Amino acid sequence: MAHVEPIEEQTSTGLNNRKLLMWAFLGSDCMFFGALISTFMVYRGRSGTSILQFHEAHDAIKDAIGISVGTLSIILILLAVVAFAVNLIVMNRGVVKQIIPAVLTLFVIVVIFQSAWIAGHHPEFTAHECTEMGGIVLPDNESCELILAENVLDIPLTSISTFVLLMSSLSMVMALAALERNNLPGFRTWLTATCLLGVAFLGFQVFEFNAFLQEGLTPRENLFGSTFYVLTGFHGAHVTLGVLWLSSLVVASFKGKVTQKSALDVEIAGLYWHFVDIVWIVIFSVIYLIGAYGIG
Amino acid sequence: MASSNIREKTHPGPRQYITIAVILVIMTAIEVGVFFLTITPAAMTGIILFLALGKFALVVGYYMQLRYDDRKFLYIFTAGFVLALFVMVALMALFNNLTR
Repeated sequence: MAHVEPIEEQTSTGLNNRKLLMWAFLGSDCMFFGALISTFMVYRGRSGTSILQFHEAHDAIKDAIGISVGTLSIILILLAVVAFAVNLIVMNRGVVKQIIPAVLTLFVIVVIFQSAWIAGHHPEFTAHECTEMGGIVLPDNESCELILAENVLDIPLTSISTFVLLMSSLSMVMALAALERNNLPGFRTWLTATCLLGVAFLGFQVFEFNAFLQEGLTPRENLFGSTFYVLTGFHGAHVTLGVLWLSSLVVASFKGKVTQKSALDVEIAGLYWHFVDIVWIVIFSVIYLIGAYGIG
Repeated sequence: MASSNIREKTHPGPRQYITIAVILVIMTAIEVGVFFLTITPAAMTGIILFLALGKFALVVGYYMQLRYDDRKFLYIFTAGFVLALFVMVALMALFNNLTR
């Protein structure tokens, strides 16, 4: 198909500056998602928390000093409060001079207290119990991974959402082609379809996140949870932004602000939308298919 | 640099767009099919990465029209993409992720 593209202005590169900027942004966004994807892959299979190791450390301290770490931390907090009061009242030091050492002391105490709380409240598993609960004992032999990628990732469901996003890319180019032919009703129909498919994809993502939360996989649960939610969450944010952008074009077209002459505006929005699609192509292949095949 | 305010370009049409979409769906179906096959992880990883790269190239080349657009756009995007790939491989190699 041949079409005529008006050049709005002469630039030193001979290229439209807005389109150039969009391509530069997409190139930089490649690095952004590349970092997130590689972080997920680096931590893949390393999501087990070293709770057994921590219990050993906790028990060793208790054996050495005769009291638990929790009791020790409470004693330390009381000592810090007493020291603070003595400094303030007896030695007559100003409050400001005490702020830095006091904050540092409290920070250390809070860290110790939090660690003691974790040690006291985390369940301890034997290797057999870990396996019985559907988890795996990680290669270090001291960590239990309970929530596995292959157990929570729903490949059939995600395949459907991938199909939905691929179809949204098709409707996006069809919208652009319609606008270039000055077919405004066709443009509106295809672009509205793109928005709806984007919303449907987000619906799948919300459903998936909810299912994961039901399984107990929160962003703070383990490395798999943290890296997975950050990566797919940022992608979802990109999709949301894209849906808002494309919706604004649909609304603008009804107000007569989008015509054949503004095809470049739609093309730039389309570049962004297709980029969201190619990022998902990589996420689906690397995270869902390859990631779910092995451990973690 | 464009010498006039009008420039003639050849872009794919709706028929080609639909053809590309069908190819993308078939490639995705093959990816999912390979996932459920009983093959070695190395073979599965290779096939899926190959198909993903193919889908990536199809969308960038035809839907984003980089194949038909000015080469400078290709260079700018490729620079970011190659840097991202380099960072990914370097990070995974650093953490022995490529060998385990």
